Amino acid sequence: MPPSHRHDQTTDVAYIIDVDMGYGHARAAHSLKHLAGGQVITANDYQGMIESERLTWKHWREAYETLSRLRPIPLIGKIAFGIVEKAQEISDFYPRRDLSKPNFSVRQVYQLIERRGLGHELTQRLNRNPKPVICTHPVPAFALETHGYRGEIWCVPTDADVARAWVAMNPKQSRIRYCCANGRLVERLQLYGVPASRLTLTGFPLPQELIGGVESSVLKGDLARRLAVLDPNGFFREHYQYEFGTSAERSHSYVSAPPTLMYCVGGAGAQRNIGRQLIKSLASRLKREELRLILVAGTRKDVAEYYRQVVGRARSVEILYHRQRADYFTAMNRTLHTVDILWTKPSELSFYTALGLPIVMAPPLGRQEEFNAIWLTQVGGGMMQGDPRYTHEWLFDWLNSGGFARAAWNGFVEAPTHGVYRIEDAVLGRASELEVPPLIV
Amino acid sequence: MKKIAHIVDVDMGYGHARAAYALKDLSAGEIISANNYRGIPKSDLNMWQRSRKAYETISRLKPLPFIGDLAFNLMDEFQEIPAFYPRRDLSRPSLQLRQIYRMIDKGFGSHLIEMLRNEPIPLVTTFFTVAFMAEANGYPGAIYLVTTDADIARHWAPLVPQRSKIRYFAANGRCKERLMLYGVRESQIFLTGFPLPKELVGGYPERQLQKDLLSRICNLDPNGIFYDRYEKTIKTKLGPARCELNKTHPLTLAFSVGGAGAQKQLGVDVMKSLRREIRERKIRLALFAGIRTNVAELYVDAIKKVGLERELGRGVIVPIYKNRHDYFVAFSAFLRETDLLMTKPSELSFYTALGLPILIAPPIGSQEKFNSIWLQYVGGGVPMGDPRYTNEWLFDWLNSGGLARMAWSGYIEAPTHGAYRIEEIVAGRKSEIHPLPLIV
Repeated sequence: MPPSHRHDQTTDVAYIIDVDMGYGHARAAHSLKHLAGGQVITANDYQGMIESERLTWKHWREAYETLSRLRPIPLIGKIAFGIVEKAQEISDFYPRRDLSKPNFSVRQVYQLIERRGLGHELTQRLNRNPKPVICTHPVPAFALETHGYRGEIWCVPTDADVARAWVAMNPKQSRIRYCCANGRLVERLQLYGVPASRLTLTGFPLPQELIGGVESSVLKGDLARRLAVLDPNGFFREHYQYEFGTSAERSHSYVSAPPTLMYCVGGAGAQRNIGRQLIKSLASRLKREELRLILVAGTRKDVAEYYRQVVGRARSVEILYHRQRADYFTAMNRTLHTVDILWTKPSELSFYTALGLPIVMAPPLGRQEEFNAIWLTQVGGGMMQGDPRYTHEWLFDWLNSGGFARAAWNGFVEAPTHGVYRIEDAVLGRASELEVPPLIV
Repeated sequence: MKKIAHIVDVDMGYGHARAAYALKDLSAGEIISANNYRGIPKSDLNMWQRSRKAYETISRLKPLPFIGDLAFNLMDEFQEIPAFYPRRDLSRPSLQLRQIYRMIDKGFGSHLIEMLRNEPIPLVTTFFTVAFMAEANGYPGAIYLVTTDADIARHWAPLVPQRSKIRYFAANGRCKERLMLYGVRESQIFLTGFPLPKELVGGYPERQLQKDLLSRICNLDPNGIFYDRYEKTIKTKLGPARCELNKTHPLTLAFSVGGAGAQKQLGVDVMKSLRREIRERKIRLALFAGIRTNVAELYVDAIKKVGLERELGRGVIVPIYKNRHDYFVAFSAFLRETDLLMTKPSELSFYTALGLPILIAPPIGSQEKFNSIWLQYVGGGVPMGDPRYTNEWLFDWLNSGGLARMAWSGYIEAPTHGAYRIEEIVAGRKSEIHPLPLIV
């Protein structure tokens, strides 16, 4: 269907709210910030925030962090971690059944909202000029609703399957609407009691600058270049030459070049170690310029320093680090044009396979990442990492057999790409010119 | 086709026999079972029976808590496939291999090889011990060994692989590389793909397969989601899909347990879960028990218990066969009207190359774990959901076009022409079929 409206002129029509807690919520918000004139409000850290509210957020967050840190202690640790696990639990999907009963985590959040006024001040502030608000974390959405926000409230879950904690205490009466990253999420939220009328299957909001409009012009250009790099022996392109259309035809005009691998796994102990092992394993390949490696330190200076020390004077290695989250996201999006393989935990970055990026999955942390990994495997856009110590072997075996090219293509074809545009259409209440993605995938 | 080779398998599970069945044209239909042929000496028969019984007993023990796992893990340790990376010399013979050679040195299998020597044409076997017997007893013809899994243990390569004249037909690229780690020279390995029944492929190009796949896609993509995305490729490779004309059968799921029957309860659970859909003619279920009458009886009893008696032979089928040959012939025929294959990741994993999506039942043993990884890497299979809720997850996957995509990925990515490549090599003909990439 030809576009009946433009997507490059929408600005300042909504508030975008995230929280400063990992990158997942913030990354989704960053992709949507053009709808709020480039501004993202961080619910637990915004300018002019009253101190009592800041403290309430801090305590809530610290409670979980403390419980998680107790994990290594015998007995107590097990009990403590059991509480955290329970709060984040995602029950088996089948058989479909009523899962709407609020769990401990939801009740605890509502206590903070109702008794300690979490989010009250923010609600008052936004009520001065009510516009649709899009939250990438559930707690601000619950708070706005409880404190009587006068605009529409939208929520964008950031995983392929989510815990009960994403849904309001009384889902049937709540007016929060959801923009869902995939079909399973639409169904899961219904099990939690959200009526289908308040669910829109949009896809995860990916950065516009990596898509290039509803026609995906930027993405197709990047993918054409990437397929040439990821299919050095032409196995994949031979199979799918009829389907590619523009991307594959164009890919033949590119000369195969050394691939670029982005390692974006985080900076906690074990993950750092994987980074060190892979640098060591790839040393010769990097020296011979058979690969370019980008190590993502995000906003963590200590991780950047660690990588700098490990990398030393190695060739063909870059470290991506920025002090501010917004700068980091912008720089990462700019860099992703040149990336051919993304190595990450199955976090929200799993959805980036829709950009035609093959994902090498590090071991998942937590239930939601396990579900993301299943989704990514079913979509065909990702595969579990091999032993990092032997990356120089398996990575190139997969490359030479065209496996990465296939994963790039599967991700592009099967995973939803246009979430950011569908969310814009949904929030503005206009019919979308984009096809509705199938319910599962 | 004139007989140009001996085909030798063993009667032990279905894996080795199924591969041999697909190559029967090479031997004008004659397949010799090394552990069960006319005139086999009593001593050899006893030797085979001991190892077979041990294997089957342990497989049957598997469901038992603790003891089953313990016994199975011990056996599995024996057959362990070491991690592939880093590539390194793995040529040191395993305990099991030494044991096999000790038995051969004592005369195990010499009668069989003497018998074959009367007609010294190429010998193609699907079981490693037979190849070792042939070489140790100086068989004068060429000796070929067909691998039947996506990755294999050390006992598939001979004691001194560097000096051996055994040639290999590797089922996939990983098998070829693995054999090289075990010390087999590259010149002795042909990457052919697993031999699939020719009647399901239909030559080169694979006309029969394409016809069946088109009909299958009609059943597997009820909402046209997959077709919309891959229309150009499907039309170019298979022709236009006119489902009202192409549809040849109702949506059909075939459940095929292993020869040891360890997973029969899964079949019962799947059938129970689908009982309403079977009654409503939304799906047809075939529970394959192979030649195991007791398993078939168990299925029939369970079907009656859930009130599906009237559907027996229509909505739910329990075929049973007198012998392996009849089973393989009928199974092939049935696969032409099968849309989904639910199986352990056994040698049937390779059947995804026929454009069959595989719902992977839990693997048993190291080699099946590797088959499962291969199947998922190829994109032709996915681990099955909880069998008790098959009626939910199966139709969810179906409606989203995911199963059609798996059928397609299996067809495109997995090797289809193994039987043809093997025939051409054995006959000494130059192959016109495209070479396979090393991995996949």
